[in-house]
Amino acid sequence: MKGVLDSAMRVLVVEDDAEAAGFLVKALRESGHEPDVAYNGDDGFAMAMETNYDILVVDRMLPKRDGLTLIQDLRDQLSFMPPVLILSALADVDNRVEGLRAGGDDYLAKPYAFSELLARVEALTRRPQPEQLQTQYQVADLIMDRLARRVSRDGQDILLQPREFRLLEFLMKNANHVVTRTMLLEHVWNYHFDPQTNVIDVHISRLRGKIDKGFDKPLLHTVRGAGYMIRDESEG
Amino acid sequence: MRLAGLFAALLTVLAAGVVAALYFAFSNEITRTQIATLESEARLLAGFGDRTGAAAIAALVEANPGKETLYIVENAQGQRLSGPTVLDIKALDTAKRRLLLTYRQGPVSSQAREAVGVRRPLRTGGAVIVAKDMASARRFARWVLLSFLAGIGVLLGAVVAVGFALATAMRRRVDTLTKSIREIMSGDMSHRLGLAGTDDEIDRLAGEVNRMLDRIERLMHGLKDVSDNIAHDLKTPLSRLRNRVEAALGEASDAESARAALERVIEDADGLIRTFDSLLLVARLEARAVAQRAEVFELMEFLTDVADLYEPIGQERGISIAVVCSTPVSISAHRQLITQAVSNLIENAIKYAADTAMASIELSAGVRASGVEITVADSGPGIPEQDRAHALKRFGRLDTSRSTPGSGLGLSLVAAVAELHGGTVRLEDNQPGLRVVLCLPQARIA
Repeated sequence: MKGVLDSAMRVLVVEDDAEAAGFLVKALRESGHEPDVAYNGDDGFAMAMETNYDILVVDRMLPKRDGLTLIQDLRDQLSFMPPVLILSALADVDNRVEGLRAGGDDYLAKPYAFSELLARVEALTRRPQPEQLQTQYQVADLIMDRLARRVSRDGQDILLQPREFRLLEFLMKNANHVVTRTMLLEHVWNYHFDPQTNVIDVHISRLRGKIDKGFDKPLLHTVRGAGYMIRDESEG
Repeated sequence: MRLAGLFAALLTVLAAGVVAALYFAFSNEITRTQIATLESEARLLAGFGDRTGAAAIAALVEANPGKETLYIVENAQGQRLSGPTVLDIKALDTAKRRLLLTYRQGPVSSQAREAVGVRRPLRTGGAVIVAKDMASARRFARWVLLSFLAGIGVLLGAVVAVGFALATAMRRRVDTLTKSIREIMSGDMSHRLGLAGTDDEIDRLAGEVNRMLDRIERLMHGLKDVSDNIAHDLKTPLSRLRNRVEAALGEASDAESARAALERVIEDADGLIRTFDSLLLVARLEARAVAQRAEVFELMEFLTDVADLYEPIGQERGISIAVVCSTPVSISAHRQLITQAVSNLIENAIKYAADTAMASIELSAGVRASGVEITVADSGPGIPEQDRAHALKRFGRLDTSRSTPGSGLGLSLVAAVAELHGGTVRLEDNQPGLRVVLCLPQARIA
């Protein structure tokens, strides 16, 4: 599953389970990134101090120095702190809040789908761009004016419910990148659990009915086994 | 018991000491007053004798013999002119004023007796001795001693008897409790400690132990339910997943069908992970291992948000989802957990109401005396009254619905969330359909 990359990222994976780390490194490399791996907190600290990584993927439970301590130590020492994705078997809301408070930028519960991890890693590395300044998103002929809260495609106005607007906004902000169902639930609805039903799919198909139906080419794509992506496929 | 014995011994020694001290002080006091009386009588006699001479006194005392008092008059030559036959005189002090007399009254055969006396010399020569027989004083002192001893003996006996009775009763109760605890430890978890109904410390302790046992038993039953149901609810999808992989290995002639098979395997695995997550969350909620993060939020808006998430899927299945709330209701609760609980209820309602005509789901919130109530009502088949309690248990999916998808953890999670907030879940008849009422007492989060 390849994302469309702006450039290859230097990723530091700090994970004590060698098999999980190996799988992650292999998959990240196949996705065009440059992963390094550390098997304990102390090595992770040393490597992060030495090299400027674009993102850290840190397991919460690590030998020698646990994940949250590692993040806090790096925050104290580094002048530029890369974004951090915390991996943890501790999965409920409280653990997530704890992890984010300790300085993680995102939190992913084990076991996770690699597509989910990759989508989040790529979303995190885009984060530092000043998004508030971007008042307009455009993918092909689909244009969103964030200030006027207006959406149009091929010059025709499209009427969206507030929730549909926020859904599209998040997808367009991450245009050309996979967005998972969990990410949508977290960012558009601010819910942190997995519904048993395919609620998100129904929201997406409704949105698709408004922005794609009746136009020459679809922009909102389903990425099988991963999530959704807004992308103009006629572009390179 | 050993302590009680030690206590009785200590009490005995103490009582003996007190009696000895009292007896000593008492007999000293008797002697002292006796001697004072004897001295004043001797002074009187001597004053008389100084004027009349020894012989006159002798005549006087011979005429008026005392009952227990002895009057002995000596002339200047030391000859006794009156009184009983004195056998021996010992001086008790150096001035020879106080004397111990041994005497005999009457015939030679009669018993020798003892008396304490005071000697007072006469100016005309000679002396008077006034003495008192000691027998009655001794009798009195002995009587006092005996009554002291008897009193203390009775007291000690009572103390020891009561102490022994108390200790025995206590030991019997502790023995009963120990026996009960051994039975429970050997595996009979339904056994409980007997209460004496006295509401004393031991009863209260036993009551607390019983409540602890209730909780342990409930947790153990929960665990047993889990292991029983894991067999069905986790093993079934696991074996389905395994069969799918096996089939794909055997049949996958082309890459496309192999890929499709793998994608379904991932879906199965995701379903398993979800079931597992719910199971863990319910377990953590029941064990109260979840941090208490209460926040205040408004339910009308909250329910509208949740309804908004499910509205499209409801529409797709022909179910209308509506929030019927007249006034805003604020609540202090763990927002994410309440979200999850309400979502579970809506998902359940969608699942069961889907095939009914005019299917609808209504969400509402209101303030009652018991607290804030969140109600999810559907028009589905409902749950028969006798099955409602079972439906709230972990994996308590009703057998008739085993074939519909879902882990069966939905309602038990709702119940666990309610319990964490010190609240309850009620299942009611919506006529037709099911009404689930989540009742959360306010002003505290458990």
